Amino acid sequence: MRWFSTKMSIQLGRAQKTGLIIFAVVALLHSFIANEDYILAKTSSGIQFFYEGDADWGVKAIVPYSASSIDRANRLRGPFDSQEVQSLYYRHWLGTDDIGRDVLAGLIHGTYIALQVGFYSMLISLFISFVLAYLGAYHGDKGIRIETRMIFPAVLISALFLFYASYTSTWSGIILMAAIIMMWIYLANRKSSIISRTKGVPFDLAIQRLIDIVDSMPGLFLILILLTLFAEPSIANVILVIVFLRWPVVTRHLRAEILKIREEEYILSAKSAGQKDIIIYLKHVLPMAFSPIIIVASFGIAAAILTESTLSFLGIGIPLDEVSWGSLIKRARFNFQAWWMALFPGLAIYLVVILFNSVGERVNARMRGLDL
Amino acid sequence: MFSYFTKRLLLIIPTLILISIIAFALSKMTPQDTVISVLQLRGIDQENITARQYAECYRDLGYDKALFYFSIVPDHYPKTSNKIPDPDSRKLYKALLKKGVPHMHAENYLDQLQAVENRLKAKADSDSLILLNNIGADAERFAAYMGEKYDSKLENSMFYPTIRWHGLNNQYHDWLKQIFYEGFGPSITDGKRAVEKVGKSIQWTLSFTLVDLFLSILLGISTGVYLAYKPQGRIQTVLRQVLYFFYALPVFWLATILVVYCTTDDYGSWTNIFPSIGMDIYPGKSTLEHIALNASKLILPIICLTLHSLAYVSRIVENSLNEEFRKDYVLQAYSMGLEKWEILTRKVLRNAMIPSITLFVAAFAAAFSGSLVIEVIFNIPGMGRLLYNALQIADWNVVFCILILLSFITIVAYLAGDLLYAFFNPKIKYRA
Repeated sequence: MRWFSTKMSIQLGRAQKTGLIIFAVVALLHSFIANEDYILAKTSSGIQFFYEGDADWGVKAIVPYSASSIDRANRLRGPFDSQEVQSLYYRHWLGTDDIGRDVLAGLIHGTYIALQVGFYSMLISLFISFVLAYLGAYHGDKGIRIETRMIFPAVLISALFLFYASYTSTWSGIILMAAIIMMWIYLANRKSSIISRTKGVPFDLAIQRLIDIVDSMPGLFLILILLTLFAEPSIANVILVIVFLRWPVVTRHLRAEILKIREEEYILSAKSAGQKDIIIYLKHVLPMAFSPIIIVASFGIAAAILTESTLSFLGIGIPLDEVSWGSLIKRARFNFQAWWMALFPGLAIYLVVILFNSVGERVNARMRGLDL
Repeated sequence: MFSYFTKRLLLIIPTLILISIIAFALSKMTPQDTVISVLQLRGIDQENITARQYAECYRDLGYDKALFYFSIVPDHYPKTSNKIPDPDSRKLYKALLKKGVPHMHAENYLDQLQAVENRLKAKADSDSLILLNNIGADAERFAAYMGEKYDSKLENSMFYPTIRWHGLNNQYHDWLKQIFYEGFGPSITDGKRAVEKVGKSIQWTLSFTLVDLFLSILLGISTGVYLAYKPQGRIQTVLRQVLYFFYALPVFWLATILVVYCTTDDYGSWTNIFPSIGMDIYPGKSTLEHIALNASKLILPIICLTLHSLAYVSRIVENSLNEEFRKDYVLQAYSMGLEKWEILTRKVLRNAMIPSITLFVAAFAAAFSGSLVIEVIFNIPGMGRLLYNALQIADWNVVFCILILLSFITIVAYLAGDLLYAFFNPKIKYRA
């Protein structure tokens, strides 16, 4: 596979590999690791998965508590305090919080939320910056050309379609928007005759101005303002807001890299062979930017997880009943004597942030080593 | 270069206008109802607000006007669709308009609904009261239930765009006027001017962020130089690990732990070395006097912030010094017989610090926005907390004031950063 060619492959250390695997496994299998229900139970009505209630025989999770299950008998018990539990299996190994929820189960559920926030926000911002870097950095201000006589009618039609899209039903709106995009793609790809004059679309300049504007607004404030726009708090909102803050960073890095790559001679030769721009971009430009993308992505994931935990610590963004690392520490603020409620989630955030930062740094060091 | 910076300076104006339009649009998209907040400020409980009071307040605030100088709407729309004060009826009105009902018919229909509502109120038996309670939730179904005719023939199947010109009589213009003449207008929590509130908070914020900035730059550069000068030293290796620890540590966690251990007796009185959090209030004294009297309580937040930013700055400085040491002119200097220390102080340091100018300028701009987390944990009434509280209750005047002020500071700081950059690095040439 071209994307993992020997020169560009990322070679991680053993600690980083194990760390990433543990993080992924815990996050993806969180409901198999910590669950109060039977994972597999044999009941009178046959074998059932995730069965709550009594069963003749069944398999339980390693941690017999869900993140939100409340043990009323054990409130605010530390890992070393005496706990009223049936057996050692039911012990709260990392203690419980002030309403009797297991801290370990909360940590495991928090891993899942961290993974969601980190990866989805990074994937979306990467996608956005791939598109923007293609339009802006790859083509530059003069790469995409449109016939001068076509510009005015095209702008007029787009404005009209936009107007109807905003005052009719959602579906016709989507169709109209798609029509606008198709029209511009057609115009950009149209072979113009030699006598007609063309004008470059300054995508690069426009995107850079946009980045400047987003950058000139203070980050955390922007998050707060955007989050008030949503009526209901949810993880998806947090992800979208992080994406809104992250895409300028990713796009700026990718742009710098693509400006270098597009001057290479193999790009020129591909162009002179008559290859389409989009194919050149996907097949020759992006794979060469693989290492910088990995660097920016791993730092971005660390930053996104940190942002999410900060927001949940402040009690904004994610739903109040959702348990995440930040919301565990938030409860610790009001229970000074419960050191375990602050220590373990903090450690989890710290380790994950270190993990992703070190991955980024390692790839960075390797890339520079190759350059030198 | 002069023309380049003049151009940049002039570009600030359109950027600020654009930011103001975005901010205004955002405030109109939020679900909170400012009218109710304003009425509550005037001492009326939310349950006791009558429709008449609501309508008067709605007009007082100018919310019945159009949003912008002009609007492009379908031809069956009225001049503004904000005329109706009652939020539920307004929602229904807008829904009808979107369906294609000409505005005259939509208004008639709303009047008919109002008549039904009045009839029900006059009747005042239990059935009609239940109906009345549901009217807000789903007025259209209610109307269908009551037998009021909704004529779908009235819907326009085709409409054309028209431009409606509102002149200066619009909400955005009123809002701009308020910014210039009344300093962003009153805050809805206590009726004070938003500018005054922001002025107070910015003093609190700067009182600890500027100290943090100064300390972290001073200590960060010297630590970075110390680490890069002798990279393999034993002390340096340990110090690097410690700094990396603080770099990756979430600030809010460090702050929480410090508050728990250092300001309370819960873990032994010997760790309780700092005064407990929460600022003391001395009536009749100015903000600066408050800050001076509470200075001992700002030590812990400053330590907390500085540990984090110190680690960050020293990493950056160390990396850029290492980068610089690998260049050819350093080899040439060695071959001339210069000591490492001489090369560092005479050549490398200056070159390595130039890229960091941008970083310090950005940090300076960020110092004005404060640190929300630190302010929340240590109960400091700074900018972050002011914005947070203002957003919770839709106090938009305060939010705008903060947003526009901070954006302005950021833009100007970045411009100053570029100027400094060009000043220190003669290789840089800006062309307009």
